[in-house]
Order: sequence, then C-alpha cells, then structure tokens
Amino acid sequence: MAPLSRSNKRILTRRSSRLKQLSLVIIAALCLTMGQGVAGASETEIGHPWDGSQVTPIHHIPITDADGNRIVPHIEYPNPFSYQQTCGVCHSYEKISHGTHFNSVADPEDFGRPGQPWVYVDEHLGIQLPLSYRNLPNTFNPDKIGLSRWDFVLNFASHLPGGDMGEPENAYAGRWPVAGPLEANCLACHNGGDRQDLSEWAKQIKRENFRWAATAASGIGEVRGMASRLPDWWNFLTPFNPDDSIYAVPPQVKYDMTNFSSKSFAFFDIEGSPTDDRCLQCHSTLIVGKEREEVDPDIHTVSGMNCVNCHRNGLDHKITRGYETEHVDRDDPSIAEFSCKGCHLGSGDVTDMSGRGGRLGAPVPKHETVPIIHLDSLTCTACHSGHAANKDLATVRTAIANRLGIAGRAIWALETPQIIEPVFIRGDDGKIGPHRMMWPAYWASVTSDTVTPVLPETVTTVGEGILDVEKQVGQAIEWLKKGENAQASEQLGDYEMPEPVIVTADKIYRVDVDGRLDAEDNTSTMPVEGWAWGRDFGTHIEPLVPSIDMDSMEAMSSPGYNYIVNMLNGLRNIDGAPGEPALTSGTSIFLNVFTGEEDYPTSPAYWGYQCVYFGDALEEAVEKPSFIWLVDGGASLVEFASDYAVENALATADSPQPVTEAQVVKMLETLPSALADESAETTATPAYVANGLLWTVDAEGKLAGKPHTAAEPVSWPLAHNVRGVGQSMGALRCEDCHAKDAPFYYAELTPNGPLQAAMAPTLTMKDFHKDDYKPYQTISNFFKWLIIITMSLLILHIIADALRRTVCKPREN
Amino acid sequence: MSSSIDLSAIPGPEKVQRFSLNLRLQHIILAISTMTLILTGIPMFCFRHPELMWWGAESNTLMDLAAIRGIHRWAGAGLTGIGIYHMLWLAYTRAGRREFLYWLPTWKDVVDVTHMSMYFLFLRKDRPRFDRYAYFEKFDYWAVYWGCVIMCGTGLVLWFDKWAAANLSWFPYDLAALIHADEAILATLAIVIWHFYNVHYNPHKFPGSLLWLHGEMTKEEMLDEHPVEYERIAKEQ
Repeated sequence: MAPLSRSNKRILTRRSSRLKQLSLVIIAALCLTMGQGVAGASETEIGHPWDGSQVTPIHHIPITDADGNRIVPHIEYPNPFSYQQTCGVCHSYEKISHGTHFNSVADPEDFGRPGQPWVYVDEHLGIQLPLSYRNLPNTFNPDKIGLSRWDFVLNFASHLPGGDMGEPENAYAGRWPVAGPLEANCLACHNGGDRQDLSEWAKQIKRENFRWAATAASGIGEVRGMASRLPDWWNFLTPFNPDDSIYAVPPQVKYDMTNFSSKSFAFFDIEGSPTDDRCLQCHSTLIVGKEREEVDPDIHTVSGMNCVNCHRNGLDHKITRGYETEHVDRDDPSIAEFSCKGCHLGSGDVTDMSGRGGRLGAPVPKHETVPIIHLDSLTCTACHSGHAANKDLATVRTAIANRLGIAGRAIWALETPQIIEPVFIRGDDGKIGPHRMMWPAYWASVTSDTVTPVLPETVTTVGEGILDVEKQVGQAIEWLKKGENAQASEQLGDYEMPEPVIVTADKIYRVDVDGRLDAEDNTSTMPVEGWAWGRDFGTHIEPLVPSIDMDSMEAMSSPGYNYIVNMLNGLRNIDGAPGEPALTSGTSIFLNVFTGEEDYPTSPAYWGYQCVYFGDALEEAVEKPSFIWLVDGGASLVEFASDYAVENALATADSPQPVTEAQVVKMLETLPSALADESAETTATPAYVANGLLWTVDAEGKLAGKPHTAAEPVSWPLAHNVRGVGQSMGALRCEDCHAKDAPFYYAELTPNGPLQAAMAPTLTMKDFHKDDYKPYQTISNFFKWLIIITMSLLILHIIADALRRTVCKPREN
Repeated sequence: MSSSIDLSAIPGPEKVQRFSLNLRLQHIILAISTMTLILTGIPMFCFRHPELMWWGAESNTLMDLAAIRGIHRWAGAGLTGIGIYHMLWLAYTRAGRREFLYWLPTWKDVVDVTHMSMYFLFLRKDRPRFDRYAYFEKFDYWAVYWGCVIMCGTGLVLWFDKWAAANLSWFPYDLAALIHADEAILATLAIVIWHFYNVHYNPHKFPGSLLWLHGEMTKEEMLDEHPVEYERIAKEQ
C-alpha cells in the first residue's frame, strides 16, 4: 500500500477529528435522550408494566450502595446496599414511599379508620405513652411533645419497615450522618426466603446501624460493628481506626458470596405477594396466658388464604385495610369487596357479579336466625373476631406494642402496655365493634386544661432515687454478693456461699440476671418484722448482720466478728465503690482501719486492715443493722439502699404495676423544678396520668386522682382471628350477649396501668356503646309520658272508685 | 244498687244475655293471646335489658329464648288474626254493626265522665246511669284498637325484619323495637291494673266475674251498671 501523502493525512485527520466530534455529539445526545427516558420512566411509572405472567420474575440483579455505586461484594470493606438505589432502578421508590406503611409523616391523614398507635413504654418510669404521627384520637404526635424522629426510630423501628420517619429531611443533623437513613426495607415484606430476620433488624437498629440494617436483616451479608459507639463526626467515608478494633468499630459488611454470581449479581428470593410470616412479624397478637398450641389460626388462613388475598395493593403500596367504609374514605369503589361484608355478603345487587358476595369462595351467610338489628348495629367482627367475649375480657399483646418476635439471648418482649380486648365500642359508622384498648400513663405538666407529657429523659433525671428503686436494691445486693465473695475466700473446706436476699414474712426477694427482683414464697424460719436483709444458705436463712456483743471479751474472736471484717474488706475492694464500707448497728459503726502492714509481699489487698468498733458514734440509732458507705472521708453516710427504696422495690417486684403512690407523691413534689427548667411556663403544675385518672398532690400533700380527658383510654378496632359460625358469638345462644352477666353489656373495665392505686374508676362495657339513639329519644319520651299520664289517671279513677264503693259510699235511704 | 230496693217491682228480665257466644269467643282468644304475649314478652324485654333479669343470669332457667320467641310470635299471630276477624265481624254482620254503634263515643260519655268525677269528689251522690257500655268500657275497647295497630304493626316489622329492612327502610328495626316495648308496657299495665280492676277486683265484683265466660248479667247487676240498657230491654219486651 502506498504511503499517504501529507495532505491526505491532513484530510483524514481532519475527517477523523470531525467524526470524533460528531460521534461525541451523537453519544452525548443519545445519553441525554436515554437519561431523560430513564428519568422519565422512573418518574411516571411505578415499576415495569405487568405483562400478565402470574410468576414473580427472578431477581438476579446488581446491587448498589447509597451513592449509586455498584457493589463488588468480595472486596474488603464493601458498602451496604441501598434499596433506593438497587430496587429503585425499576420500582419508583418515591411513589412506594408514600404507601400505607411509609407515609405516616408525609400523609398523616391518608389512613382512614384509626389504627393501633405506637406506645412508648418505660416500665421503670411508669410510662406508657400512645403516640402517632397520624393524629389518632387520644394519642400524642411525637413532634408536638418534643420526641425527635431519631428517638422515635430508635425506639420503634424494630417493627417499622423503614422509610417514613426513618428518612428525615435533614439527614445531616444529630446522629443521622453516623447511622444513615433507615430506608424503606423492601425485603422486610418481599423476602421469600427463610433468612429474613426481624431480630437481626432490631439488633442493628439498637446499634444505630440504620444504613446497614437491611443488609444484615435480609441475610445477604453480615454486619459487625456499632455506629452507636462512634463519635458524631464519623461518617462512612472515615478511615478505620487501627488503634481501636474492639470497641468503636464502625459497621462493616461481609457479604455471603453464595448469594452472588461471578459477575457480582445478587440473587434475591423475591415474593411479589408477601407471605403471611412477613406480615405477622409485625402484626402478630397473643392472648396472654395462651400457649402456642392453644391458639387457632385465623379461619381464612386455615382455608388456604393469605393476608394479601384481602389486604391487596397496587404498586403504589397503598394497602387495602379491609374495613367496611374504606372505599368511601379512599373514594375507591373497587376496594369495597375486600371488607368482611363486601366479600361475604356483597352489596346485594345480584345483577352485578361482584354484588353477590362470595368472592374467592367466601361463604355467603344468610343469618336467618339473627334479628337484623344485629347486622345493622354490629360489625361482623363483633361476633366473629378476636377473643370470644362470652366469658371475660382478655389481656392481649401485640407485636408492635409489646415487641413480640425479637428472639435472642435477651427477651425483648414487654409485659406492658396492658392491652385488653374486646371492648365493644360504637364507631363512627354507628356500629358496635370489638376494639383493643389501653390507658395511657405518663408524667405531665398541666397548664389550664392542657396536659403535656414530660419527656422521658426529664423523668429519668428527676426520677433518679425515686423511681429507680429496684435498680438501687439490685445494686445493693450485687455489692453484698461481692462482700460474700471475700467472705467465701476466707473459709476453709467446703463452703457454700450464701446469697444475699431480702426477707419478708411471706416472701424472699433475690436479684435476677437482669438486675430485677424476683419474689418467691418464704419457707424459712427466720423471724422478720417488716423486711430484713438475709443470707440464704439454701437450707436456711440467717440475718445479714450477726448479733455481736462488742462489750464481751470473746467478741473479737467470734464468727460474727470475722464475718463483718471479711465483708467490709470485700466491699472495700469493689471497683467504683462510692466510699469506704462500714456497718451501722444501733448507734455504733464498724469499719476497717489500716494498721500499716500492707507491704507483706503475698498478702491480699485487705491484709493490714483491722475492724474497729466505734460505739455511740451515731447521734440517732438506726432501726436495722446495715452496711453503708462512708463518703467524703466519712462526712456523709450513704445507705446501700434506703428504706424507701427497699419498701417500694418490694412493693413493685414481680408486679405489672411498677409505681407506688408514695413514688408518685415524691415525683410530683420534685417535678416542678424540672418543669421550670424545661419551659418558661411557670404556671405549669406536675401531674401523673395513669389508670384512667389524672393524679395530683393536694395542698396537704395527699395524692388524689380525678377523671380527665387526658387520661381517657385509646382504642382501635380489631379484626382477624376470625371464628366461623359455630364459634361466633350468639350463634347457638342469645345469652352470649343477652344475659345479666354478659360481658357484651356488663363487663366491668377497671383502667389498668403502672400505678398501684387504691382508687380506680370502674367503667361498664355499656358505657362504650353510646346508646343515645337521639332520633328515638322523642318517641321514647312520648311513650314514657303517655304511660305516666294514662296510668296516673286510671289509677286515680280506680282509687276514687274503690273509696266510693267502700269507705265513702253514699248513705242508703 | 242497694239490696234494699225491691227488684221485683222493677219490670224486666231476671237475666240478660249481654254478650253472644261469638263475641265471648273473640274476647277469650284476645285474652289468651294477650296474656301469652305479656308472659313471653317480659323475658324477651329483659333479654334486651339484661339488668332486669331478676331470675338470674341464664334465661335457660325458664325457657330457651328461641322457644319463647316462637310462642310470642304465634300469640301475636293470634292477636292479629282475631283483630282482623273482629273487623270483618263488625263490617259484615248485623250484630257487629249494631255493637259498633254502641261502642262509638257519644256526648253522653263526656257528660258521664263529668258526672263520675263529681261523684268521686262528693259533689254528687249518685253514679252516672250507663247505657250498654260505660265510658271506661269504651275506653278499653278503643285502647285495644290503638294497641293492636301499634303492637301488630311493630311486631310484624320485628318478625319479618329482613323484609322490613328491604321494603320499609324508613321504619328501622330499632324504632319498631322501641315502640313495641313501650306500648307493651302501657298495655300490660292498663290490662293488669285498670281492666282487671274494673271487671274483677273492684269491691263490687271481687273476687271476679264470669261474664267473659257465660255472657250473662243479672237484673241487679244490669240495674247497677247499665240501667239505661236494662230499661230499654225491659221496654222492648
């Protein structure tokens, strides 16, 4: 081939350069067009249009981190994957995030009939505060009482599917940059595999690993490290600290490579229609006292249906809740069929197939023997749902209120709030239906008629020494255990170390692994007046402090003396001990004094100390001999646990009501100073809302409760746990409800709550029926007066007639 | 009427067949139906207001509610049936038409009420002289009309509730039940207190009258209670 001339080369070069420019323009135009197309698709379409296949497509897809970078799973420190970036490629994250599970903050009114509130529970503080961003009746909006989105997520996200308040507008404030946003967790519902782990999700939330929680919970990777231990300035681009690989370890992901192809595509076992297990992890309920094998599944489940057969949604994730008037609330007639009535009875229009009822093979009941008033006045659930109320009301736990389903070494489930069912309440639709109900409990500031909850952290601060009595007593027992350890090390041969306990006439209280007091029956013969510290040897219990006559010559060689010496030495060596241990008895103090022989090479730390007895050292005699701390060189004496702490701890141990009236009085006396700090409202008075009453301290320092709207219960309709005709209320006997002691009318509802109150209002179920029947009142009054007037006249006539015929009859001529 | 009056001096029959067999049978059926309705209605009322169940928690102590309701409905059917028969009897028989005229309220009834009131207040010494029906007997008769219309009407709505819900939606079950119960209370009190006093318990008739059975009244009774009618009968003879 002949070489090109210079001019030809120049031409070619120029052409090539033009081609390059042209191609760049074309590529740029194409990119722009494609980009717009993609952007346009993601804005206008929620997902791929359904092609009609009944099969969920295999999801073998690349995964992407929050910045949109594709994740290579086998590198050393891969990022967690982001649902917004991974799933959002095909499914509009923006639209889905306005779905029912994710829109309580964005669209608080878009929910319809009230549902279950979130309940902030702190058993030790006596708080069970119903919260809702959806403005449900008798609940508090967290934003309005000062509970931050961060606090909300940290407390409740174990049973939240992410999104919503987990994605704050300002993601750069507070701890959010460290923890990351808590994106809508698609796999929480759509994971069809068996590795979706609610407990792992909850664990990651508690570790503030929001950005990593979904990766860990889905099982696609492991996450170690805790964002909660990282400083506020940390972000996930911060390099690892080589000097701290134990404590402040940032969250790290290790992907399970068996989930990935050689091209780093991840396999997701997606269920387009979530399985029941996915729903039930947050929507389980349990009747307290029932064992697993006693619980019947819902009749629909037994017949082969799934939750999503009724609770349907489109790709916008607005889920049909299934109550009777939902189609009106949502202005969508197409969902009318998915209520009980819609599916089983239809609209009655037999010319329209959907109006006939019986969809999916649902039986169409005739209710022939049931007077129609029942169908007009009661919801279907009144007879067919929940705990059958032909006996008593049940206490029920729900997954999101009582943290059910979080498995692990610690049991996370809570005893409180105590929710009861079924409470038959007339709803806005005029029908009486079964509800779940709980009474709020919280510390509050009251200004005129406004009752505002005091934030939990304020209560924690104020309640130190008042509400944390169980903790104080548990701490005291732990200290005594350490003293006993020292005692044990001094014993020769087989020695069974006794356990420090508190003894009353009928109970023995010991501290459990959680630091809480457990009560058991006292079978010992140790005489007790009120309560006393004791040493439980297993076979018998002895008083904690032996009786010693220090004036006798044998005192120094008695076993009791040695015990005290060893205990004091053991207590002195406790890490972080608040002071020097001592023993008070009567007006005397025993303490160990340094004798200057601590340099003995192999001696334990307490050698060189000797117990010294100071008689009449105290101005006032103590009631019970007890160990104390000498703080500030003996300037002050601090009890291990005060009488107040012990008495209140014993009163609340093993009780579902962890607050006593004495504690409330003390709190209400202490709270005003905290309220003055918290707000400028100097007129605010402290109060405690619990057990259906608003509690305040009167001028004489006595606690008094009064009814108040702020103390009214919160309730929400229940459904599910459906029972068929044979098990429905009233199916075989009207007396299920129409009897003198039938709970439907006459169950007595005593408001429950954390307070051990002597006073409690009693409500009757009938009060909630709201039987005012205003339209009928006129007719009722008409008949009432008709009866009164007519019978009065007739009876007057009778009396007059009888008198005239007998006593006052006219004389005969 | 005082026994000292020589009855033989007054012309007229010793006994008067006051009510025909037909009318007596109508009354007996009406009475049995009504008694049954009252007896079965009380427990049914209490089922709606369980706090009134003085006999205990469970209705089974007496009878199953379904059985009670069944009996109540058939008694209601008896009442409705005899009501309809009575209307036909009034319309299509001479005796019925003649009787109906006697039951119609007249000006004399107003005069008699005033007269009786003055008698009760010791402003007059003598009782009014009644014709075939005294004003309080007419009240009883017309009260049954009022009662039957209300009780049968509302009772049918309660019995055929589904039909009523579909075709009489303006008259809901709740309202029918309310009116049915209230009117039942009025009717029961009126019958047990008022009617029973007038026909059985008043000192003049205690311990009771068998007029409902044989339909006869003696000359003395007639002169005491219906002198105007007796005089007319005597005159016609």
